[in-house]
Amino acid sequence: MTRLLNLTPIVLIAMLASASPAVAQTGTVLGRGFIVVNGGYQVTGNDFEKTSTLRANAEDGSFTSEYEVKGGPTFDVGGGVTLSRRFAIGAGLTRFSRSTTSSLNGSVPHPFYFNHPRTVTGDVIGLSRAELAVHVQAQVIAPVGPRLQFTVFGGPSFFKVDQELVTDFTWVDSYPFDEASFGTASTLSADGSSIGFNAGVDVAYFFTQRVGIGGLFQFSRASVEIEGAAVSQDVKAGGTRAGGGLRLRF
Amino acid sequence: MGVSHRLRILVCFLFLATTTLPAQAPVSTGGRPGLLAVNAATPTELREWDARINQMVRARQFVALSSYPDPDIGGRTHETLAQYYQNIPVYGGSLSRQSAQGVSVSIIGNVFENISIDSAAALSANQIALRLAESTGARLVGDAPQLVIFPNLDGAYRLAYRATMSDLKTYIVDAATGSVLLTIDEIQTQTQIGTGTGALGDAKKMSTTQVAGGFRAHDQLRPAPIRTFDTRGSELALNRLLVPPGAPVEGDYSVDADNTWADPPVVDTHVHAGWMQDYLFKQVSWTGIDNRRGTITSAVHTGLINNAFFIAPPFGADGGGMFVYGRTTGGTPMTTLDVVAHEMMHGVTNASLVQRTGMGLLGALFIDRFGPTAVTVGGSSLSCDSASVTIAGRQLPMLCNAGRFVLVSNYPGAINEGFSDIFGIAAEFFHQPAGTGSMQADYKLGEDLAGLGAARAADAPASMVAMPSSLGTIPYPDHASRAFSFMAAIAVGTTSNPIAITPVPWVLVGDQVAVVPSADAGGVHLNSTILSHAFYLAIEGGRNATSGLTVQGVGAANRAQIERAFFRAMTVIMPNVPSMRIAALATFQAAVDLYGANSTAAVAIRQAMQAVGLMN
Repeated sequence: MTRLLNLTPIVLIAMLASASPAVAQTGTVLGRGFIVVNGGYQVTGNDFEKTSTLRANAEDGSFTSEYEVKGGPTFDVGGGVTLSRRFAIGAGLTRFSRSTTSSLNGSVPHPFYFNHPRTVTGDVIGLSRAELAVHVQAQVIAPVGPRLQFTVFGGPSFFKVDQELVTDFTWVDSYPFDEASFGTASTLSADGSSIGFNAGVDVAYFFTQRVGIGGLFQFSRASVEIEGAAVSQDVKAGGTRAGGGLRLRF
Repeated sequence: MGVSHRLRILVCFLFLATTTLPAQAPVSTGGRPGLLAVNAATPTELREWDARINQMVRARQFVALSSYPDPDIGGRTHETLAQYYQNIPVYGGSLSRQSAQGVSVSIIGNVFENISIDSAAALSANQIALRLAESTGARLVGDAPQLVIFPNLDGAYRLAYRATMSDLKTYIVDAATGSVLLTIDEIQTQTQIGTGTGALGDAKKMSTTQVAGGFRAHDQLRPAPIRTFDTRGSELALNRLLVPPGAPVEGDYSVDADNTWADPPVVDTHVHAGWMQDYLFKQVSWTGIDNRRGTITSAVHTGLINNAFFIAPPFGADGGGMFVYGRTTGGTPMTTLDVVAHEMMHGVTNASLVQRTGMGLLGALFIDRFGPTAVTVGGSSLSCDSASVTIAGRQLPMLCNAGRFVLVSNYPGAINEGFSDIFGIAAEFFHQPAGTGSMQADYKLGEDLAGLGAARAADAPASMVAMPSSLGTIPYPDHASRAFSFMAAIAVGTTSNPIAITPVPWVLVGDQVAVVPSADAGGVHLNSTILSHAFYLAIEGGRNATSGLTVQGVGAANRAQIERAFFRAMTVIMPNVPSMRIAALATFQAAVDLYGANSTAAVAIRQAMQAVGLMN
């Protein structure tokens, strides 16, 4: 995971550095490189839930945290090199980060009675969630005239996910202890990486031979096992993303 | 010597319980001159009694002991008044008046009339204490002996001292002669007879306190702390805890090294005490035993066989009362939920009465009726005037009235036991699923004592043998007409000058005497089933086998209404020395207070009390 991240900029730089200009009739510069910079929005939510056990009052209890990972803004940068008029290879880096909320639903053992759990509910807000994805793409380019260019792409993605997880919580109760209310939560950061895939389409309009703007629609997905201290959880990363931004080619 | 003269100086506190008490009218008990059992509920009666009480308060014949807001009904106030004569309390004279927005709603209690005696004591309190110490070998505990006006059976009154001694007894002593007029055993027992093995093996949670080296059976999570002592079979340790000051030592606590307790008596006692506290708190809004968060102390491994008891303050650990549990002859701990709840209800009864009236539910013999002049005992005919009985090696003459045997019962004691049975049952239904199996709730008491079985059955009292007798077994009564009445003997004094009486284990069956193993302190356990059966009928409904009357119960889903009414009756309304009928009226009044006169609960209780012969 760490090694992958360290290599990513190197790969990008290598690809950019190796690009050589070869302008096609359609405007595509064969053998040359290109850079895309996008702002976007990840539409797909990646909600997940985690059930944990707890031991209290001489009895096992449990709690389920439902993490609401909504979509949010993304930023990505990428580049590549054209291999022919129709094909290119590229790579991109996508960053997604946002604060998430976890709805906690706990079953807390009663201090006096077996099998008389109290239900505790509460929201834990401000849990951080970050996804960093490196997408390697094979691209099929479909130029439409000298300025407009459609690109369909796909390939493997390398995801790294950082997620703050609820590991424990406190509750408040008083005699006769038949009810309890949520107190505070303990959290820790868990992370993990995995390989998934990405696919999408890009539409670019070039004002000049080198500069243009474009729009992007991408779907990426990976299942990532994140781990922290004695905690692990499978989560989904990526999703449907739309964005747009600068297109440069040289 | 005439009967009236013989009885005039009878010093035991006797009432005629056979008097028919109209449900909603103040009435005299008739058989006990001077005693007025008050139950005023109609506007006219209340006006009359308000005026009369106010007059007596101004004359210092009644003193307001306490006034407090109703725990269940907003705007209601309860006032407890104690009767005094020349600044000396009258034993058993008390009134409970509840009012709403300053207007009286009910007045219940006892008033003693026509008191006229010299209030100057010939003997001092110190002299009484010394005499008692000499005669009992015990020492005075608590306050110095207090003067009381003690009512005689025939309407006369005697100036007496009330003193509690370290032998766990309270004595009423004649202030003129030093004679003991009445002995009150402070131990309220829950007797079980039988054999059995082991505990039930169920897993429970123990609320404990960690100390150096282990854990102590000391629950400090509940509002009223619970501590369970282990006297390890030491009579010395038990007595040290029972007798004031009842100072516990570190070694008294039940302890466990790893908080995984494997001692069934400790576990059951400690946990069930907590469960009963939970029941009281949740169902009837009562905190702990005394409703004041007082520590609840129990003792196990006491060496007690077939018994468990509650002893009220000033006895018990730290003078706060104590619950003492034994085991059956088969080794089964007498600590099942219903038994523990039963004992704890004794504590509640005592605490509530003491807080309201200054005294607990007082043990007193009521005259049930006058029997025949002659009976057959073991095939021989005995006339009352010549009959005697041997008790504890002493030959005692029988108490007669115009040559007729006097039959007595201790109804306050039976009420005490009945209410304890009721709340032992109620605690079961609160915590256990209904059913007939082990650890399931039913209307029987002590049914989970392995190898021993139930002692009493509120649902079908007559299905249980109360006592074997010389004439065969006698079932528990399900109706007032079947109440155990015991012949009485003169314990102190002579036939012409009876000073103190005691119930004799002779029960009249037709014109024959059935000799039973025990007089049960006047039938306190034996007659308890009349009230507990009414409790059952009020909930479940059904037909009383004796009266044939049918009760429309509130249904099991509404049992809390009946439980609350009974609890309120005991803790808010009940006077010190109630008859069974007064207890029934108090319970009905409680239901009316809580739910209204025409409510399902009030109707069910009225029908139930009528069915068991306690209301008209």
